[in-house]
Amino acid sequence: MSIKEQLTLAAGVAVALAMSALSPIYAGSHWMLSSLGAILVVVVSGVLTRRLGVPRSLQPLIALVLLVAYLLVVFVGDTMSAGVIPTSGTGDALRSLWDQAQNNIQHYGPPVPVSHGLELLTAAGVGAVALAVDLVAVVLDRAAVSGLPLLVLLAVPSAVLPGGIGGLPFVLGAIGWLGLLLVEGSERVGRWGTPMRSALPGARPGGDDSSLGRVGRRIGVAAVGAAVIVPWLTPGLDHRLVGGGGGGSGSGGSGGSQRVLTYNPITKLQGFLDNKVRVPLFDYVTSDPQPDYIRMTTLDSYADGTWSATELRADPKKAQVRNGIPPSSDQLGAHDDFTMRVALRDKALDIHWLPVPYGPTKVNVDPSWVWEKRSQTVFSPGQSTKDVTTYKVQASRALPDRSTLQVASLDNVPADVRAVYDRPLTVDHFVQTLTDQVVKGKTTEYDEAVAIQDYFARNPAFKYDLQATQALPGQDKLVAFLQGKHGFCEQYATAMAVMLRVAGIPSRVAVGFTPGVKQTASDGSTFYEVTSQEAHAWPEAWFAGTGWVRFEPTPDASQASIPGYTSALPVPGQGNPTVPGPSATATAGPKPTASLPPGIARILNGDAGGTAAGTTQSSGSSGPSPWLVAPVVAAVLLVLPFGLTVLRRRFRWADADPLTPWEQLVDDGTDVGWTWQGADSPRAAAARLSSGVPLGEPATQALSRIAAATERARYAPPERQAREDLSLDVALVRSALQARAPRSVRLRAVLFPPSTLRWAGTSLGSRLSRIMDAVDDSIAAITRPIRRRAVR
Amino acid sequence: MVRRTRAESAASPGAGLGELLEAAGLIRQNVERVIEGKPEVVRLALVVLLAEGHLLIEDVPGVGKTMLAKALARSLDCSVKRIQFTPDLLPSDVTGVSVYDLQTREFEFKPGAVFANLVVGDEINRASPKTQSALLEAMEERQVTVDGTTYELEAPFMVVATQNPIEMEGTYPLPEAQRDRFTARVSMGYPSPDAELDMLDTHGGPAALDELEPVADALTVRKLIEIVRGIHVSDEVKRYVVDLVTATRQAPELRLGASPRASLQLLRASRAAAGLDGRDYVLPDDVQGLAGAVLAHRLLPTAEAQVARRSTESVVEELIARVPLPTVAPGR
Repeated sequence: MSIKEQLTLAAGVAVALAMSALSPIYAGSHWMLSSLGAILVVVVSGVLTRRLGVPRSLQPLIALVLLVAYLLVVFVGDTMSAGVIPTSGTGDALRSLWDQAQNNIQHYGPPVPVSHGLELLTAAGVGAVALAVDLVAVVLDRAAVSGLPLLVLLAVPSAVLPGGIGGLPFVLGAIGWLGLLLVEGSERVGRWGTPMRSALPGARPGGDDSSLGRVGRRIGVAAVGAAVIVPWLTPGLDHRLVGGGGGGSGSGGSGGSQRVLTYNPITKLQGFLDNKVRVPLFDYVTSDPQPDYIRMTTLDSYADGTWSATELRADPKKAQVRNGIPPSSDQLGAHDDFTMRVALRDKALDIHWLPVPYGPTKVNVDPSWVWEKRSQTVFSPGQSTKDVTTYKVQASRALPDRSTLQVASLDNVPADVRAVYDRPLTVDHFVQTLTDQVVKGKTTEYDEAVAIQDYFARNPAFKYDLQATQALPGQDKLVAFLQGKHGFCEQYATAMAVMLRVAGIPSRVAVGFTPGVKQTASDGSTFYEVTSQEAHAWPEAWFAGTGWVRFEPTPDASQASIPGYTSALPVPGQGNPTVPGPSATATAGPKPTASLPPGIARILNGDAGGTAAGTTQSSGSSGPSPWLVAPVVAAVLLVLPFGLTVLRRRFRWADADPLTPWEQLVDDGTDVGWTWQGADSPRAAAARLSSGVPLGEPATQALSRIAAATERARYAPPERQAREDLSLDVALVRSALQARAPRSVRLRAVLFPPSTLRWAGTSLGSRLSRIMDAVDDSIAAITRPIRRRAVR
Repeated sequence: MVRRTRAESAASPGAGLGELLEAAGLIRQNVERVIEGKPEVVRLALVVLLAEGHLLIEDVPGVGKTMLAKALARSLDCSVKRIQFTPDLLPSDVTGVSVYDLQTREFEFKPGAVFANLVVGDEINRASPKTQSALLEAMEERQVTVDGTTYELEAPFMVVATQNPIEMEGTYPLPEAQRDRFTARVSMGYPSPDAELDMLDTHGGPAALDELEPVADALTVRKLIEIVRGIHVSDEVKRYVVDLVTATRQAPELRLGASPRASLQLLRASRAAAGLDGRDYVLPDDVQGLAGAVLAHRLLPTAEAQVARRSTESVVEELIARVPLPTVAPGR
């Protein structure tokens, strides 16, 4: 097999290894087969064209044609006549597969269920990367640059997954790329001629005899090892390839703030609602007689008919929710204080925002959960809700007052609110006109907001439908909904938030849950159960003096309720923030339940949740304080070299080697900064030392005695060896050397003796080198038969 | 034509050292009576004698090269021959020639000048390369082959050759192969003013050289050589010799490094030096002290080094300062 063909194979293996990084974003693994097939097509085409001597410029073209043919045959083969000739049906089939893939991507968060369309998209993408790597590494002969197309495969999951891609896919991808480099390196060396095999007796038997290859492998292993280990060892770097703490996709930019790269919560919401099965997510008990919505996070930027969230930022130390959450300065007026204890169902919910009611003041949960003030979100860059079992929320919910809202002026919107939530949006002309019509004649912003809400919620033309009106090609999605009037909470919340902005009112979309279904346990205690069907989105608008208040434009949704303060009709029991919506009462009635969820049973029994701490299963909070650990570690590090020196000295003199005095002398000299010449014999070294440092007569004589004894020990015949106790001589020379050294050098000689540090470095280095040798040998043993075959 | 015989008794090194020091001291004093102010050159000549090697004395005319060779020869009571190398000298003058004897009607071998314990080759680089090479076999193998018959040379056998620097006119530079056969090369150098003044006094009278009496015979020298052979060399020192010689082969300034023969001769010379110091084991210091004299004349500098006026001696010095001493037990 020629070197070009080997390179082609190596490129294919590298792509296949890097492809494994995609597996966390897809549910199941059946998609891998077709993607591996795409890689195989590119590799086989490459090997064949190179073997047949096809011109270089044609090789990628042929591979591309074969790849397209493969994808067509595998995915839309049944629409082609004779199995190979595309027909008009093929185009339609491709279009529908494309739509399917789009639908998949938009509606699901990872792990995404893989439809036929998404499988095609993935196989095409992987095939394209394989083609690019082949082009760069083999045709253009730049294996190092082929890391860039490989990086694409790693970039997709690292952008989509909130916790990054993790260590294993990175290491696999790196191994593939290094393998490619290795093959390319051997090709480059091969151009210089046949490598000479060393016949020296010093050459290690059984090892790989190409020292160039060894060096290359060592550099590679060291580089990848450093990339994995250094961030792991470095405190303060959140994004690690191995170990915990990898939740956030990067450390904070400034001021030590953490951030979490949000994937769109809307896709999570859609995933919940699309799933027709009611999956219980969590249960809670609350002292609030009429629980309101439970928030997760908010979406603040709008583009192309969809709201999305920007990055969340918070100080990991100052913003811990377990230490309390400062009340919002906007919220004046009456508040309702209550406590809510939440028990999450085992691993049912896997998100980085904690569901909390409006107005949380304190949440007893792991310290990694922090408060983001702007979006009023409790989030964790390191943990997911599946790491949490129970938590307790203390809340003080503002009770918006219709009269206050009526007079709320929007003249003095704070800068931080204005900057994010009052930015004008680019919307279709239709939306602008509609908004103008709806708010026409309203005098206050509050009235405008209520009018927009009522336009949806109290308008029989709008229907609640999980199959929302689909936009025609080229049509604005929002316009399609406003005209089709079919949709669910996402569309209604989106539309109202957009229209609020158009009307000049700061707005955003909140994502969370409706209060859930009230359940009564067999012992008579009540709790609320929240399932995937309670997932909800709703708009929030900002008013001076009250802050963010929620609206409810979605008609007929189960559990949804129009806030009382937005109702023009007098509401019985004024002060109660919510009026149950028409459909809310239908299911919210208490009903006995046979089995009690285990989490809620614990809460009801007072085992968990009620206690201030230990409400999570995280071990992060139970470790000793870093303020205690740091000085201890520092003290150990400070004393370590000194202790090592003492131990070495003791062990050294214990075995009475005739060379011990000289070794001790060399160390003592090194410690006071004397540089020994490797080419000096003991006699010459002693002469150089006594001429370089004025030691005084007794020490000089002691030095000569040590040198003479060392000479005899090293060079005289064994029968001439004599046992001499030179420890006193060594001590004499050491004190003479130290007497001449400056104080700082003497201090260093005691605390951080350079000789000990050097010894530690060399022993560590030689040990590492031995490990590397062993790795080299085993790699060589594995690859030798392969290479031998390749040479033949 | 005397068969080379081994010394009768292989003296133990410890016991023989006193004998060695005494005999060597006598020879040294004797030679220094005529070569004043050059103890290190005299010592090197002795080292080469005891190391069973050959000495090349190189310097400008008139500094006492021939005097040293003759003084050494006179101090030893053994056969000494002197060859004055000239451009018309023939190889047979060196090795000997077979002459037809009319009476016996046979060819009879008339030994050349090389058949002696000590051969003084004066101005060796004035002879043609052909004649120079005639010495080759004799020096290395201690035998001479004429007309297919091999004649062994008597031990000890030492060639002390003098030559003028190759830049001088009318010289044929010694080929590398021949230079390699000399154990050491030494430069006499000009004497110090004081030594030169003494020399004027001494040499003003009757010829000092003629007054020299032999202080040792061939048998003694053979015994001394045997004692030197018994001097202990540790593995570390052997390793060091190899490292040093290997370094000359890898030095970027050198076109030709030292040969394995050089390692052998460096070690032998180091043994002799240790013995002359009264030690029965070799130190790296002995090796370092002799490396310049033993290695420098065998090396060929590169064109760049020649342009930069780097002498091979300075390259060897640099290597001595650079090549680390091997250690049996690395730092614990």
